Amino acid sequence: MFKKAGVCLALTLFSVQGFADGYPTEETIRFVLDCMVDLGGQNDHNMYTCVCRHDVIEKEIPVYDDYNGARIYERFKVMPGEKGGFFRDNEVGAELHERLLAAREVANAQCPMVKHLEAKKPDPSSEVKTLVD
Amino acid sequence: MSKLSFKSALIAAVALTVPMSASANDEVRALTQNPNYWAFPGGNYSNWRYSELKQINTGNASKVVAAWTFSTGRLQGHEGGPLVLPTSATGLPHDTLYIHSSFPNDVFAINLDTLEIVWAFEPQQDEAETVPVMCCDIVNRGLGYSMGQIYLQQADTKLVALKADTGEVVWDVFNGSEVTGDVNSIEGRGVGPASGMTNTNAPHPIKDKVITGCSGAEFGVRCWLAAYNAKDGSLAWRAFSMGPDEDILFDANTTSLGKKVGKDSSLKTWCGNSDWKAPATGPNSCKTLSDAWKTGGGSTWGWWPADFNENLLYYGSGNPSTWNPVVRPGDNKWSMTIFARDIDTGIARWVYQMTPHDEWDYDGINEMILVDMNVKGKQRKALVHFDRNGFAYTMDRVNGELLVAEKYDPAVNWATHIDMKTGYPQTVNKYSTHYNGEDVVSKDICPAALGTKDQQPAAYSPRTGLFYVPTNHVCMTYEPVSYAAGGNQYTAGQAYVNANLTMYPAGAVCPDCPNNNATKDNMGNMIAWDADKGKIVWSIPEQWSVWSGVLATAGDVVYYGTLDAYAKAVDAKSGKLLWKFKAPSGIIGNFNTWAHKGKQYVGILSGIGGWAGAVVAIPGLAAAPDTAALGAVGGYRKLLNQARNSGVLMVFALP
Repeated sequence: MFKKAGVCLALTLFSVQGFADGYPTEETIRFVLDCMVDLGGQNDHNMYTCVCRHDVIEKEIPVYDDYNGARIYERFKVMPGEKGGFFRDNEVGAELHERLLAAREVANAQCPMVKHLEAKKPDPSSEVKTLVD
Repeated sequence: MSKLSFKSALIAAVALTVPMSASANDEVRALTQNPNYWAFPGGNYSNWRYSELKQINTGNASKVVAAWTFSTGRLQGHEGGPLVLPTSATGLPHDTLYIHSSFPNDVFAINLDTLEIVWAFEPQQDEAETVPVMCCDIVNRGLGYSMGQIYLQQADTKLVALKADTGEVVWDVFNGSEVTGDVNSIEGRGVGPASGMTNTNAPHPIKDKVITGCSGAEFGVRCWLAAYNAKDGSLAWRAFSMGPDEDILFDANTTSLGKKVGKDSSLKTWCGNSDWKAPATGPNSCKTLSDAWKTGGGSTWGWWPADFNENLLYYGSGNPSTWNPVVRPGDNKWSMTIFARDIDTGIARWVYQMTPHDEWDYDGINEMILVDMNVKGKQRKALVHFDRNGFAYTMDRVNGELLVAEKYDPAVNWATHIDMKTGYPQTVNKYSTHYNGEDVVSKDICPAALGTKDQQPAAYSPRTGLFYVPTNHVCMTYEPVSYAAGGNQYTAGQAYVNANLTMYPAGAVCPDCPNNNATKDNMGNMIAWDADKGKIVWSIPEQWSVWSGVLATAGDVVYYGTLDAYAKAVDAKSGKLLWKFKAPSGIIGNFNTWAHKGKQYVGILSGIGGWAGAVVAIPGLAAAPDTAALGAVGGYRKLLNQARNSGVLMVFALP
């Protein structure tokens, strides 16, 4: 309970920052959708976790261009050939990526996966059995 | 159609002043002057990449939105751009867009009325043989059109002509092995992927021929430009980049900077001794000769224009092989060279070697742009070329006279200037990897090996008279690796590079360069260039390099894309940013534009690999049944299944 309150408080604080100097809508949506897929699928509880993680990362790396540079480095350094070298050799990109990895650790710590309980639906086959009996 | 009517008076006046006798692709030349279509890779045969369309202009370019997208289903680098053709060309009852993918080079014909796939051609290529010998990603630079046929140059060197209406194969030929004439001229090895030869270029239909090139300088292939007859795929001529005169198609009248080059002009520049001293700062004869030209490189994978009045086509050759310059003393002619060849015979009228004895991998393959313009007070039929070596050359395209050679990135330091009499660059010993020697790291050389600009083609606007050039702003360390230290001896089909290098922003070497950004770490600039004065008019710093082909329009909008996935539109006069859009992946394709049913569209391929996450998956699409209403043909189901994280054609328009 306490943890959840902490997350809520954090979200409130971050959203002020978010509105002042936010990531583009496209990036926010991309982040949350990708994150939900990573956590197992699109549903409300995964969305809570992912929105929280997004906002923590945005607080840790408030300048969008820095976040973008880190993602660019992360995505493209694995490419073969000269174009990959363009990214692999880039020290600024490597530094930004270090910051992103650190921000992700903070986000994972502050935004654990929301646990989800589901009420069990009655087993239709057992209902049928009862009727027959 | 009224707003977008045929407005080619200017292009016609500049490029086609003398009517030609009817030839096989008069039709294509007419199509390239109709701005509603895009019929030749460079837009027109002068390689302007300029459109008369102006529905999108500086006043409304900021309102442009994504109109439709198409996933190719293939991964990694997507270069080139679509062709857009009318019924008169294709025989199909609608305007048709043709788009290609990276390896294995699928081709799709798309009905622009319905956005359905009319046909798909999926070549079967030997991936295990071909992909490992593609040095620099598995790109393909697109398609060509003439005579009712779409041409595809596959990576495995097969050149294919497809019926534009059905996608059926009309003819195909292995550019890498169908060598006529003296088989000994290729040392009996044959060529093709087995010996490291591949293709990445777009086929260029010029007159009744299809021109294609050769990649593989990183594998010691001796490359060429070849012309096949569009009618049946038979070889018309093949001109090697180096070797005996009969291989390179030079005759007694072939000149360089106005002087006849004479006999054996290539063979004389592959030295057999160590007396030859780098760097090459002027004519410097070999004492003895070697046969290193047989593995000499000089690949051809750029964008080639034609001047039909002169009956010439123009192209550049790439780096000499291997990258370790110490083992191939001499100028290594005619690698790193601009060629003007007769379209019908292939005979070279003039040549100019930009980087004699390359020590940095500054391939000369970049596009040539043909413009009739005033240079130093005199009207010229000019050729403008932005080389990897960081110099922008303005030449007289009729006689090969060197008119202007200036740096288009102030960071360029490997040479102080070009000697306008000899044409030789004045190199700087500190940055000469040969002078410094094998197994020595030469530091802070600008530009890096991938050049101030790579193949991504620039655009020219006749409205502003300016060239719009996508550039890198990157320097490097370069270490030629000796055989003693583990360099490879030449083995057919194996990499023959023998150099180590690292790259970093040019601001680290040139902190006072005026084209640095505030933090001096930009790796690219989008520039506007005056090819008469040899000066930058405006320059926009880009963090991660500008690697797309550029488009200029009569709406005075210039489109370009960046390696970090932004598509951008700027004002052609001022460079002011009008619009930007974050694409799914980095942009290394070329912007094209066309009009359909009165609406202007702008298209660009996005895709360099390093795919973004799951969002590209389109819910519902992958689950569509085999016979979904998308005009599915054999194999299209596979595309649906792969429609996530692939190359994407992004198409933009006003809302």
